[in-house]
Amino acid sequence: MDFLQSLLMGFSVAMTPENLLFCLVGATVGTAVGVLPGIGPVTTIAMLIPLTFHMPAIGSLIMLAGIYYGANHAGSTTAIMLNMPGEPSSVVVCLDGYPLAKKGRAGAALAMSAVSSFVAGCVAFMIVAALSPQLSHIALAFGPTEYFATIVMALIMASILTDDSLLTTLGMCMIGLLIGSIGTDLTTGDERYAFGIPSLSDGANFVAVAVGLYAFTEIIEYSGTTAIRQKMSFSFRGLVPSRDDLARSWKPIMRGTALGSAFGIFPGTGPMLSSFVGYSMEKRLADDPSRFGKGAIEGVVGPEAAANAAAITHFIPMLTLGIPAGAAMAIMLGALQIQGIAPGPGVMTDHPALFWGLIASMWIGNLMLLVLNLPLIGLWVRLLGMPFHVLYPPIIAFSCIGVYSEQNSYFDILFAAGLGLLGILFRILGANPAPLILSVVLEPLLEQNFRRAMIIGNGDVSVFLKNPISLGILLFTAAVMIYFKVKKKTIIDDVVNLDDKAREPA
Amino acid sequence: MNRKLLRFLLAAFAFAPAASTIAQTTDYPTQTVRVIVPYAPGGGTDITARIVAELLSKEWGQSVIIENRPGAASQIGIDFVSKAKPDGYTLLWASSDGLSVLPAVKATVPYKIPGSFEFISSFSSYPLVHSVSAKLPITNMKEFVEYAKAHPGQMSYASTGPGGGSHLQAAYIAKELGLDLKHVPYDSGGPASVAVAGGHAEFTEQGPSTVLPYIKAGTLRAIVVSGSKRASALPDVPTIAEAGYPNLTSDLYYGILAPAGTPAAIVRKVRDDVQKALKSPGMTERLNSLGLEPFGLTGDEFRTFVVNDLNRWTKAAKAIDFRLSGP
Repeated sequence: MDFLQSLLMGFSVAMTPENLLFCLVGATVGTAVGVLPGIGPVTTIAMLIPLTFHMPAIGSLIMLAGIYYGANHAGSTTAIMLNMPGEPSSVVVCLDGYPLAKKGRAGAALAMSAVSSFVAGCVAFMIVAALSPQLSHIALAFGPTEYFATIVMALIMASILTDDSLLTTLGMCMIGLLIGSIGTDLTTGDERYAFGIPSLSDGANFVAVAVGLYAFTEIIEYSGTTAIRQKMSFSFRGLVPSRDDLARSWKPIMRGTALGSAFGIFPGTGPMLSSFVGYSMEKRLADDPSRFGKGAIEGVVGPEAAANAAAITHFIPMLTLGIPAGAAMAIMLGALQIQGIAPGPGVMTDHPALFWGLIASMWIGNLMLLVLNLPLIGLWVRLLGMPFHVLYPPIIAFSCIGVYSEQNSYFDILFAAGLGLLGILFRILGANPAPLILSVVLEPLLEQNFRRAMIIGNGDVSVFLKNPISLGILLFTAAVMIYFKVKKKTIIDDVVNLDDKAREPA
Repeated sequence: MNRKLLRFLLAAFAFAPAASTIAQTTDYPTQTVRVIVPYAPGGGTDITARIVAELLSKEWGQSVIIENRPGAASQIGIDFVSKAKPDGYTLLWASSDGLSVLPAVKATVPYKIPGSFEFISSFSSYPLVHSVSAKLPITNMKEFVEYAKAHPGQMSYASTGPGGGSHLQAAYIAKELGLDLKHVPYDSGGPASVAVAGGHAEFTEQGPSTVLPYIKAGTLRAIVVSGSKRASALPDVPTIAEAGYPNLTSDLYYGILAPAGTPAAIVRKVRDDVQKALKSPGMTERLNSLGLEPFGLTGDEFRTFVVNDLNRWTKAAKAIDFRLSGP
């Protein structure tokens, strides 16, 4: 009854004409800034904050949240269409989304990703409504030891993302961890690998890494081909998801939703981890894993559902613990404080209308996004029909603006360019950069939590095994590894993989 | 007659530039004013800057925009303003961590305190709340010291990062009181508070806005506040001086500065209007709801305060033997 009451209250708040309008404005602005590289959700939300001084707290939060998930959704659009991930959680969407677009099936991929986001949003909303009072306690029980175990689990589960050999994947992870260790040492405050460059002192800029390894690499590779590549084929039949797409997708959507809802509860990292683990889970469970990386619809909808479900359940740790998942969320917490509402354990009990109204508005916002985006798909696909020599120069320009505007740093553009060259090397060697990107993002968390656990435990490594939660997570990880090793690693699989590689280099 | 005319003309010429600068400064601002915030959007420095920028925009009929230039513990943004053209169109909104803590712990910073800036006005202050995990049997400073002495090398404090006020204050307390404590650094206030609320570390030194929700929820307990006065948000919590340690008193602050050499008339105009914003109706309540107190030192007062604060933190950093490296 509590559950239904919360649900009803949430919708009664979110469905007032005023709040519906805020939600629509937010979702529309978010979609626009997400698709246009160069102006991201962080800048937009920061610019709109003074506007919210004079708005009701719930209305302003609904609008800002709309910008956040609208931009997130649009980030997947650019990942599918241009191989340009806008943020960590859309990196994995590139893996199969872009190959689908190359096959002329961008429309189907976009439509299915929109549908999966929506379905995941609905389910996650129900989970939050039913379980949130209990869930907020879980996050408090997580200390450095537990986080370390969780991140190890995520890294190991996600390291089976690609078809590359174990050695290649581990190598990419190591390079990623090295790039991730650039910046200020959290314990001593000393700078590592920064070479006196100010914009490296806070770590490698994620947008620069992603743009370099994906967008720039793509463009350099294209420029290197002597033959004028033909335009991306597109047909109107490709716009509509086929019956086969739907049949293949519904199970991954459900699995991704369940996974994302669970992972979203982890403060700080939820949505990103969910999308990576969601992808590798789908690949492991697929009848024919070799299709992944070449345009498997499951590889788009699974992680997309996971990321979106996590984005919604993530509001629990964000509002109740005040730990944001990223820069955009951090500004939203600031906006909340301006309204006199301090994020913390009291939010759910002291401001129930705000909490449930916001969650309900996210569901409504996702519906709006679906309605907004489906008609736009035709337009995006037509844009892709443009010849590359027309399409790529503006992409380079916008990418540079996007990278620069993160920290107002020219160096970051050069950094991205350097990574673009590295990306070309990886393509020649046939190594997929996804594990590298994941490691870049996770390295600081992995290292910091390890060192915190060591400080608190006086340098005794056995703390990870003495602590029941971290022991449980580590045992679970080991069990999953053994299970997949027994189930999937057959000789036939290896032969199929080798065969594929021989036929399709890079 | 001729002489008189000549004198008049000379005088006119001599005063002409002065007259034109007066005209210019009374016109100020004639274009968009940027206020650099040396942190990412969303934190206390950014929020207060945005509140003031909005009021200044209205007062001046010109846009006053906030530009976030984060990085290297706010050094990048502060350095940027110290080298900006001193024309009043680039101002700095900074906090104690960048102005008086960072130069105290870092061998070299690219700007000079106070030399690189005109000190326009401080705006608000806040104390560090010495908060312990509510799981511990500690309700006052005496019990805290006793508990820490009974558990040497076992208590740890969560800070917002090495070399910030949150770290230095805790380390200085340990040094002055002769306690053996461990430093567990986090990257911002939220996670550090959660770590203590969840019982993973024993105490933390942070501004009221971050810890207040946990104190209300009963997972953190406020022992003392570091300010020279009690915090309006925690009226029952004694100051550290009241608890018997006046030399550990510290007031953290936010304020507005301009590059050195900015015309005095512009500095005066910005100061008057920032003071006006501080006295605008509802501002005290608004600041209190963010865990802040109004704190409007102007000009030389503000400058002297920052210099004294810098000296105090330098002393603390020497006492705990802490230095940050890096450019």
